[in-house]
Amino acid sequence: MEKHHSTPETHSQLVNHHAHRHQEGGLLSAYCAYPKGIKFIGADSKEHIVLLLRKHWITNLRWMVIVFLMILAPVLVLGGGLFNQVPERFQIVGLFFWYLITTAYALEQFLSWFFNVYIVTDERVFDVDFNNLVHRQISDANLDQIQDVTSTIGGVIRTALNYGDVVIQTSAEIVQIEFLAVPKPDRVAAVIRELRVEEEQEKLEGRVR
Amino acid sequence: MNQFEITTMLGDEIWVAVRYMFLLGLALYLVFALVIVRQVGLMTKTLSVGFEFPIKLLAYLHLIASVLLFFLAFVSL
Repeated sequence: MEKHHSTPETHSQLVNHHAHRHQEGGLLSAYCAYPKGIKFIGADSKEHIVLLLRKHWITNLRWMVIVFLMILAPVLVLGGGLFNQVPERFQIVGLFFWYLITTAYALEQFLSWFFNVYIVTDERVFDVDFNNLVHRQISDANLDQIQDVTSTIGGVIRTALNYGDVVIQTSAEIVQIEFLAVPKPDRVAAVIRELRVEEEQEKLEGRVR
Repeated sequence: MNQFEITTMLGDEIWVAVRYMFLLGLALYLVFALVIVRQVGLMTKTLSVGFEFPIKLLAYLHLIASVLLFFLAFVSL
């Protein structure tokens, strides 16, 4: 959060403080602050999303390279004459099948990146995980249950691209929530700490929702 | 004995077997394509960011392509 914004003093100021901040980052961004028009299961109607995070786009590079090679593979294989003895109708169906598999692989990898998100609201932090094709797990913790927030950037590539992990220790049933390979981990940790302070201030002043 | 000699010896029988293998594989793939559609539905229901239409469209196009490929294989192989 930018330090030049003044700290809200009343409850309505606090609500407006989060509700009217400008969005930073787009729908396909790995880091999006104050996203508009986002809905997710488990959200409270009065809850405002402060951060919507995904893994840094560089984590997609591996599967993108694989997809590129899969697209090129038939050209190399068929051009090399390996399947000259195979009837043409089988080659055509096989080719279409291969590209269908390539499409499915690319789609699955994109969906995994796009929908495995980390959400920070003005009340809670969420970790939305799709572990396999039809299994979903949502972990959340209230901000006032957060005991410790640690950000880590390790390695040359992560340092150069400024992405890393944010580990959140809580006193909730889920002891630890991890935001893995997210952009600007130091900033994310700072935002969570500041929101926790705001939440504690709300509690002291009797404004807890 | 190389590949050419094997296929000449077996004749058309091997391609009948390959045809059924293709059809079985494509039928299983159809199920997988249906699961992807189901998965996209679950995901967009969990998180709605305004990008649902292109993703759902891609999933359904993939399913339609799988169905068409199955029928193509059934007819042409």
